[in-house]
Amino acid sequence: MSDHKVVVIGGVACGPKAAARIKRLNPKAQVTLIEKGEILSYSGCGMPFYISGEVHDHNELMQTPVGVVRDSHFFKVVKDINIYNRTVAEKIDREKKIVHALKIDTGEHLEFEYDDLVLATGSETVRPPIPGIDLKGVNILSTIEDARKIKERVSKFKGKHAVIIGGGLIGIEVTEAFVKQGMNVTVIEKENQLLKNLADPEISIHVRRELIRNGVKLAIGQTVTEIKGDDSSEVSAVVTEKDTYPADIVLVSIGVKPNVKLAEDCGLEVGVTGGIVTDEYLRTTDKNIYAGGDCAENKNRLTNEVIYTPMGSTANKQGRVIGDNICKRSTKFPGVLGTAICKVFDLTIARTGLTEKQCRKKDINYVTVLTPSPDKPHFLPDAKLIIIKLIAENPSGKILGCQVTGYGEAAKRLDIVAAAMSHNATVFDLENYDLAYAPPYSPAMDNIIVAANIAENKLTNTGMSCTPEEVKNKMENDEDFIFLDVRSPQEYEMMRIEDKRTKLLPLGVLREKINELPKEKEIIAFCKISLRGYEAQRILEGEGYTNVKYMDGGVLCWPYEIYAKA
Amino acid sequence: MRIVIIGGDAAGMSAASQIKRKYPENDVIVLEATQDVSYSACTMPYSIADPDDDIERLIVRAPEEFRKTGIELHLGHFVDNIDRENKKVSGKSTDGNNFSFSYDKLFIATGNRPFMPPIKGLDLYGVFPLKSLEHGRQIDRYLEENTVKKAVIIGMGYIGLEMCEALHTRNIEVTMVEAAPEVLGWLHEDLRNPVKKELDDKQIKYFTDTKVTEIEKSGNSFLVKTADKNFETDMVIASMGVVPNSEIAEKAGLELGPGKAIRTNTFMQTSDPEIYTAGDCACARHIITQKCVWIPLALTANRGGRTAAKNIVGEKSEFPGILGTAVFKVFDYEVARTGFNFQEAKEAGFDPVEVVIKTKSKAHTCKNSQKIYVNMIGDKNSGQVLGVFMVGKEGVARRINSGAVALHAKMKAADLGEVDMAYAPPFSPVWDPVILAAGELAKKTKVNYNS
Repeated sequence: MSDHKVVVIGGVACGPKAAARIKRLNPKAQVTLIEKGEILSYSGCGMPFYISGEVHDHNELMQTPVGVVRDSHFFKVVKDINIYNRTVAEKIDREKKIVHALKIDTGEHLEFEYDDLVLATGSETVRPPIPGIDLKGVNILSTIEDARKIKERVSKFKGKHAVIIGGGLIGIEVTEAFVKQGMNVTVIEKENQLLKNLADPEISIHVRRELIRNGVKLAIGQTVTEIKGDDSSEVSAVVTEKDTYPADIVLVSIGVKPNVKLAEDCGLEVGVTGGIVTDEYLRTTDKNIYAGGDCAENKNRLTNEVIYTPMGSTANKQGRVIGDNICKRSTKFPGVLGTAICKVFDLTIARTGLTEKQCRKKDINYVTVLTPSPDKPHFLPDAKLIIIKLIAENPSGKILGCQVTGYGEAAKRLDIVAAAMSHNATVFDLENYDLAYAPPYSPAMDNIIVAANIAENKLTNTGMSCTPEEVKNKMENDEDFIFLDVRSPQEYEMMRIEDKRTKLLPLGVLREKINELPKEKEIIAFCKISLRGYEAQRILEGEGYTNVKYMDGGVLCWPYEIYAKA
Repeated sequence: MRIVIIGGDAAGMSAASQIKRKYPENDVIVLEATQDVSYSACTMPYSIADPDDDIERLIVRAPEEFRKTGIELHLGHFVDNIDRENKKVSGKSTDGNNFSFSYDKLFIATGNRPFMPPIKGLDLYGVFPLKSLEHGRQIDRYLEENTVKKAVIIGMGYIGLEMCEALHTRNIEVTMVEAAPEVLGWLHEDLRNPVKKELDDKQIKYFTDTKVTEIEKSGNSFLVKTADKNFETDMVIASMGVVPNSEIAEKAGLELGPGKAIRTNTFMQTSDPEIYTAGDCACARHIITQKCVWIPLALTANRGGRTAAKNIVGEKSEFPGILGTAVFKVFDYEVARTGFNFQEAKEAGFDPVEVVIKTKSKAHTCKNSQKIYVNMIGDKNSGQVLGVFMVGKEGVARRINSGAVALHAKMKAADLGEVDMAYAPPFSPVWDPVILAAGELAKKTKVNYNS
């Protein structure tokens, strides 16, 4: 073991983590790390915050939590890892166990022998073949060098126009960064929803509203046909099939694809997701070659399907597992839940597990909960709204996924569900968790427990409901039903869903005016958050009404047009 | 069916509402000794901290609102007898009338009350416990009508420390007196120290190992006497813990458990199957040891109330139990716990190992990232996580909950280290503190990796 030779290709997250872990477990191992870029071990996820100015110096992205910059010197001296940066691995000879590489600056050809090899080659941003994509000022954000280039250009064009192509996680984070740098930003997204891979439409609509509130222009459902430039090949505008948007800087963020060329060339299996295939020990089809991070595919620990979800936290965890396995501490990587989170100005949006869209595709029988409520007791001045969407299998109650959004604390609430799902918990387990309560932090019944309670009601047929989407479909099909608003007249004045089927009957007078409601018609009750809507449903059922539902989430979760008094 | 509920606190009212909502055909009668139901008791210190805040705001639902939903609510009705044979409860109301109600099912939600040892002077006006909304009103009124420059708080538990911050916010010089040898003795020293430093930084004087022997009124102020020294003060907060209101249950021959709280099974039934109980007056099963314990906390009351309600109406539902998960704020610090500390784990028969780690609440590149201390305890042989304790200025209160989930799920430290939590720099470091601590703890157990 002492002269165990390990070569790691890729020096951002998974690679350095694996290398460091190996040196900790086996200080005598000879570990070599090859990185094509200049810079090693940096927080890729921190780059939007560098562009926004919240992180002042790009060096901070490479620091350890105590402020030491993790450069090649650090890795060499402190970690005793041989670093070859600005070096491109060109070929893997699996038979001889040699990596052939090229030193960019000198053109020198290098050969590295290995006993075990780690592929942490990461991902690259997809550059679609749009005319004009190579113009000056059209950027991608993949490396720190990219981030520096973008920041430079942004400071040069302060107050002018930026266009983001692709409303995914990175696109949205950079949108905020650009706004903070004083740019006028337009986001172009070809699907009709932002963050479409992250969340369902009724959750991601809040991101859309938050962007508009912050002055961002949105071009949703539009496809970029051309990027235009001026005489000196500087970008000037982005053209879609509908409109032309002036641009002094463009970010292309339509997604990433795994870097698998090295793996493919040497005959390692690449899966349907495009990522390198690994087993639960993160070994590729060659038992002496491991792969982790953005270049490899993952297993969804809920469905056992292979998925491709490149995430910084996953890359680090996998680096550690690879390190363990190379040092003969057999460790399995249990897979991921597809947990992801994003801050959009003051709003948080996060999800774990499956979305409803995914459940539908898989023909799973499920129930959904959509519940808005303050993140701490509503009478505390700083209580803020969060909206939880919880999805559970019917009838088992197994949690399939959760999405949280809002201005209040959403992140750690989502982690509760992620932890629960790691153990195949049901909503019946979730509602009984003994969580921490004190008024500065949460309501007595935490929002997530309330969501589990509602799910239970649905699974036991106590609370029958429809989703906003179902209600909207009924409206569009011109179905006949009573849309029963049980809020107060004052609330109705301030904000309402305008529809010809609406009938206002406050909960307090529902019992006395019950005769105004015909028994034969379908009734869908709602209020601000649909707690009163649910009570109305129960009252009406108690009075012999048989076709009553409440609408999930009430007015606050209605993702379509809303009348609000100015 | 006629359901009588004694006590309109969190457990009682949540059960009443739930029964009425789901099964409106039942008669639900609530007998509350005070004039208040459904208020956020835990928020009182934060209301008291702000002289402009009206404490009445903490009433979540007025009695009228409950009555509108069909609940028969009687205020000022103190029940002093349960006649199990004839299935009747009786007592005297504040207007002097005797009352009696028969029941098919009875639910005892009498809660707890401040522990007031036989110290002379604890009953003086100007010496206040803090439990009911009425206490909160009295403290508010006293602060308004008197010039309070100094206050002594007896007891440094959750309520004592929250009141310390509240009074300090109102520019009152606070001295704290604690009978135990340590502040927050249940907390690991490395986690306790930053909290103590915070108290020092805020110029709070505190004396541990100090027992109050007497409180004496002298003119407009008070003298709080202890063996070593006396403290002159304008008001006193007595927060020496709580005791369950279990006397009527005991008198009726129901079995009591630890702390003299009413013993329950997992269906929240007392030793009389027609009588249920939950909340601060009742025991609950501890998730880790499955033993009966008494840890009065609000969420336990709500959850227990919900379970009791289901069983009363015939939906069979088990209450899996509690972990004693708690969080409180001490000035800028959040202090949170779930499960056992090292000592408690040992006493429960485990062979515990523990780690203390210091890390950050967010990615270190985020400007408001704060130090966070995690103490995680596990069983050496099985690798099971037994407790998580956390202290920090940010990101503690909600983060403890993923620890609670791990304890519920009986996760091994190595499993917890692999949970796919949400990461983006504004929310956590790439290695979440809980994941990091779990990874370190796993190394100390015999189940280091999931092979």
